[in-house]
Amino acid sequence: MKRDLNSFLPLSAASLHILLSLAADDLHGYGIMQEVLRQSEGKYKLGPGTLYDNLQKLTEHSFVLELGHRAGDDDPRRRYYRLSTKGRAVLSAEIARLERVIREGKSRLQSLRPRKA
Amino acid sequence: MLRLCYRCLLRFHPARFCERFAEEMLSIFDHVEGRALRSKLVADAFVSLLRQWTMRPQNWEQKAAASIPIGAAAAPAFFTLGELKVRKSALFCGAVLTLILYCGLFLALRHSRKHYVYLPSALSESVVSPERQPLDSYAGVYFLDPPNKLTVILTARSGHLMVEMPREWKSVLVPVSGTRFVFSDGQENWIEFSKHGNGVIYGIRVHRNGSEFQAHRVMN
Repeated sequence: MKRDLNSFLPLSAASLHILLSLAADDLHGYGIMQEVLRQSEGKYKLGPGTLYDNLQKLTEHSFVLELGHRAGDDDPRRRYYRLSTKGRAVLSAEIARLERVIREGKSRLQSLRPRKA
Repeated sequence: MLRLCYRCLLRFHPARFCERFAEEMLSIFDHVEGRALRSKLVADAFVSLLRQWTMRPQNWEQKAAASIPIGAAAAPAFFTLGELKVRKSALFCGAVLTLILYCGLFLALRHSRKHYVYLPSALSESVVSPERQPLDSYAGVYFLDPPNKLTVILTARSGHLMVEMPREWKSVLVPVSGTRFVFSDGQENWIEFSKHGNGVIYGIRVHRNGSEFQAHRVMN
């Protein structure tokens, strides 16, 4: 299982942000776009084309589940998406990988001393 | 208009992608307000269209999975290109034909930059009838004096005197006197002919684009 998940790493920026946005709650496409914008403090704007292209891949790999329409939603065209157990696992693996990268980067930058001119 | 454009772009996505996501993408478009943002969505749809047709071959052939729940309210409002399978060879041929078309267009534009225009109306008013002398007497090859060592060729054709300068297109010369002709593209550019006492021309003085030089005749 662990080996299988590692084969999907590293995740693309779009996939990572989509999985992150679904980690807290089930969302529809527009909700995911808004959540990604909020997470990245407005620096990463995900367009619908990129969003659904990635959602298609993520659903095919069963990282995300498609829930269909939700009763009572003001727009019946919206479909909701949920992070699956497998998706949560791959997200955890990606975050662990990023943590290792950050740790390595910090240690290198600390050991870096300015050179004499 | 933008919505129609967006809808058309979605419609031309591969059938599998279109059936699954077009309604949702249109829903997002309807929720976004402002022309600038909507224009960005149109651009995004265009990029998505290219991406789907060039990098997602799995979407070209398969229909949307039957298990996808589609509610009655979300019945597809798009005509899809479900049966269309774009062959790679067709795409390649299309690309080659487009390239040839663009090359042809580019060449046509490049060679249509200069036209021979004889006697513009403003110029014609200032034309002075020169002393009658056959145009053939002006025609010939003129060598520029050193250090240029270039040639200026004058030809008489169809009643017009034409000049061919190094690295320039042929221009029509318009007579303003028996010894002076101006270029048809501007009166500030002219050629003055030097004659012997018997009327035989032996050289020219050319004033062109602010510079002036002399040339002597080497042959008729």
